[in-house]
Amino acid sequence: MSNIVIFNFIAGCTIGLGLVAVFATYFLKNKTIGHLLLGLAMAFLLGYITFLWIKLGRAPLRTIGETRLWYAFFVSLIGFVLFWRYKFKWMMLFTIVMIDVFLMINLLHPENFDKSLMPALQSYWFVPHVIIYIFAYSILGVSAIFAVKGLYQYNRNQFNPETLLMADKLVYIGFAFSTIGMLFGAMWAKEAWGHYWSWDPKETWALLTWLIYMLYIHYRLHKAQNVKIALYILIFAYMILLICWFGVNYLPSAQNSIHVYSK
Amino acid sequence: MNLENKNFWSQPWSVKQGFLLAFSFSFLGFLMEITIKGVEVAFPPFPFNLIFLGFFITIFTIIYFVFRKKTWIRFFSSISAAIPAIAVFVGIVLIMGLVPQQEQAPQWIKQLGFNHVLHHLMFYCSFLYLMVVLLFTVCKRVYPFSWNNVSFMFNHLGLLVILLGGVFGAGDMYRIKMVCGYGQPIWYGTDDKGKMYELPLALELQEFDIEFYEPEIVTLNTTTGKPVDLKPNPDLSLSNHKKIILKNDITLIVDTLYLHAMKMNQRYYPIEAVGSSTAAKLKVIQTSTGSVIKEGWLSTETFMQPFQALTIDDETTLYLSSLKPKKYRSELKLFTPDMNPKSITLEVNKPYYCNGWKLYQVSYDQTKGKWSEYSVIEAVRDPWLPVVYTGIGMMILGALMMIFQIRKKGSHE
Repeated sequence: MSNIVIFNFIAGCTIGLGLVAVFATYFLKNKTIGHLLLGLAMAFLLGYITFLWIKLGRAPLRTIGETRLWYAFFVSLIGFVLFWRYKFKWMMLFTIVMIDVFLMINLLHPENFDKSLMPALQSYWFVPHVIIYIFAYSILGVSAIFAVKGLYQYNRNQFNPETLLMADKLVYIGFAFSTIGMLFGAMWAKEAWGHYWSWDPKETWALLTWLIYMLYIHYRLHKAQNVKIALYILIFAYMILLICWFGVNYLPSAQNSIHVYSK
Repeated sequence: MNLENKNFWSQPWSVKQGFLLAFSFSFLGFLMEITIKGVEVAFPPFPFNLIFLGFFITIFTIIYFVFRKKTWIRFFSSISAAIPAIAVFVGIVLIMGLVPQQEQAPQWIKQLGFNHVLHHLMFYCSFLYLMVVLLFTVCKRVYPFSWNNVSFMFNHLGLLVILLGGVFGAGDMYRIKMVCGYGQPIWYGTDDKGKMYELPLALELQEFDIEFYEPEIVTLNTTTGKPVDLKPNPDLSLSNHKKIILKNDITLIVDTLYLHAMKMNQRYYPIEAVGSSTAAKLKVIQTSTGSVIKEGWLSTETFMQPFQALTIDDETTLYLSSLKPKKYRSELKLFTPDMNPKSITLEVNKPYYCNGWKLYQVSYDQTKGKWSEYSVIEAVRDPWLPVVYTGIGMMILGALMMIFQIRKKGSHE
């Protein structure tokens, strides 16, 4: 059976399980079933990632589609933890919507899972650099969900400060991970290309993303009461993050980038 | 000055004044750039960079500690100054991210200098302002010292060390490409501007070795030349006797696959020689009837042989993708003044350190591929690297502490 057929099956199961988990939590009001189903969906994704890793003979972290798989897994993991620890029912709903969207993109744009890995990527830095980054992106993605929720509350004059405090915690963790990911990338670049920073378009956008989250952190420390601007910065930061992740491939400024993966 | 201006600049300053300062400073740089246009600021080498750095740190540290009780210096070491400084810098980096950084650009972009942001005085000014604010901030937290500030120090001082080490170290960094051939030691090379340098070491190529990934079939539209969108995506990698269901009612069978082949009399023979290509003989089969519609060869292009394609119908022509390198390495003899010649192996991601220089495998003659007669080695000297790595270490520690502190905070609540 080809990778694509197996993927269609796994993605279908994960999306289906996620939706049933939402249904169980919201309509049957049974959180245990919700936890179980979400856990099962995550197990499916992890199983598929492992299968792909073995079959390709390399870490499935090279193409954008492959990174989306990890993203879906991490986002569901974070959603699961928040749901379980803080009892955020809506959080589970949003993370499931987010991973379903990402899996649907992969379903609609099936890619040839190319086995080749160019020499520069064959390094022990490859796996930690990309996984740490995808984990950071996942956490920051979840913080963006909180920002949207906060903005919704704000516009209905029902703003709950807890929403933004939770987003702050996630941003701190996500920012710390993206710092580590970026520095690991710099040390890898020194080994592979001879310099730790080359102002490659992907690097420029990673720096931008990092700086804007830094701006958010400083703004929150400066004016904790002005939540509206903070919420907008957070949403803007996530948009920049998405450009850094996918958008760079389409930017005219990045046509010679050494970071552009095959789609 | 009117009354309103006076009020605006009355102490203490806030983010508003911060924005005006950060913006004006960068704008000044912008004006200077479009006036003197095209003057590239070269980073000074040792010892000037060390003197400048010492000067920068000493002057601003003294300024801080002399005036630290003043309201204005408190402003420059505060978050009200940091936010605008970061925001303006973000704006400039955003220009770099959006405008292609290359020589060819529309006239108006060239006039503004936005196609070389990295060498733009606006960038330097904004960066300098950010550095001063960061230095003052670090000074503020260093004295009086508190253990509560440790993670703050790692993050801020680490960043300062990386940035200052990187910028002031740039003048001492050399990246020299050496084209190493067989039978002749090479002790010189050129930098990216074509300037020649002699090195305290010499390299002679002993063997160049390259492995490629097996080629894949590429399908292009016969008339337009655009890629054909096949659904569902078949696995088009090649292996002997493989069956590929290409599309509706068309199946391909790989009859023969030669990794090294030469063409003679309309067919390919397995010969491993200079300039041989990878070739595959395919059978095109109508799936429903099982009959062979077509038979033919596909091959990759080398500097000796043109490629061979196979047209199936008006919609589809098959090609072999060009070879993608899997691994390449050079075995070299290394000569230095102070020791006997030594054999070393260089590979991408596996550099070799010798006498203050790090040697990297970067390239080879790509037109000749496996038969390349030279290997391109880059020699890099970066004496400030330990400084930058100290900063990197501090920032990683700072980031780990950040994660740890969040968890602690979380458990308090």
